[in-house]
Amino acid sequence: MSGLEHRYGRLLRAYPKSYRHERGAEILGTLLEGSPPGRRHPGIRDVFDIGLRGGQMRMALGAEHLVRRVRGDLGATVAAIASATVVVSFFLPWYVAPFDASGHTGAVRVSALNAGGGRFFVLALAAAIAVTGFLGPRVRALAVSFALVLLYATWICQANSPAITTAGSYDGGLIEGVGAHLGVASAYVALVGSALHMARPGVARVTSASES
Amino acid sequence: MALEIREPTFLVLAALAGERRHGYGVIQEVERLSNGETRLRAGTLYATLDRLGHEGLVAPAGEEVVDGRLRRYYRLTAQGSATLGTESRRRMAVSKEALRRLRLAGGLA
Repeated sequence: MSGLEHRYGRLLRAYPKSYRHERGAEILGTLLEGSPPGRRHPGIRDVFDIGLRGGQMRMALGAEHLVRRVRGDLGATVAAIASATVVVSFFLPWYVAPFDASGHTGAVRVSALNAGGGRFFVLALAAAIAVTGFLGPRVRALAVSFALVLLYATWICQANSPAITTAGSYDGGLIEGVGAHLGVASAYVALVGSALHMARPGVARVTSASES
Repeated sequence: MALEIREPTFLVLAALAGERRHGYGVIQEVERLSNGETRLRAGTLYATLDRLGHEGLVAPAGEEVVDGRLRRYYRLTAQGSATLGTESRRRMAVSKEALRRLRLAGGLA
């Protein structure tokens, strides 16, 4: 390989790898064929031209990836974050808060969920985002179906809530208070995320196999 | 036709009229057609060929290796020929009209 060929090869790295793989040899051939004998370095105009075209192509490719993420992967990610938030914010306080709630006597009884719900929600959201970042696409896709189950479970909880609340005259349901409402909101966000995920092209491929 | 055809694109299409050519062949033919005024850079040539291929005006027409270098040939598709024909006639009509007016005004020797 001549010095010039080597330098042209390096210049072609301005193009995205996939394009280089497909067209690199051909473009290199064209560049070499067009070089006057004795030339040792790529001309400044070729450097500028290929740099520009390669840059344009990379930007177009980047935009394409972004759109794909927004239409597909992001939907699953949103769904996963929201589902995980729902799980943690609904079920964690359930185990922790009854001790709190049992301390409350009087007219207003606080349901297990409502006690500390707001704080738990923030914690849960943070944890969910952190965890989701490490999840693979398959797990995120699973979270989509899980989000649907959660939404159903939310309704069930709502219907049965008087039985779950601690004793008293207060008839408030499980879906009460800021934390709990945020939890329900999360369930709906999960649903929207699922819809986004389902609406994207090639969803069957991604849910059954890992994404490329 | 809504398609806008800029000069380099027009020259590339014209270079492929009636004959398949490889990358450097197109560059040489464009230079000849433009009386040496337009020398396409490789990056611009391939960006143009990619776009024309995408629009279905140009298609690959075989490969060969010469002196250890890969040559990929290109040809006009039926749609490419039609587009080039339309654009050529449009340009010719404009040129003819411009010349006629110049003659009327006595501005042309």
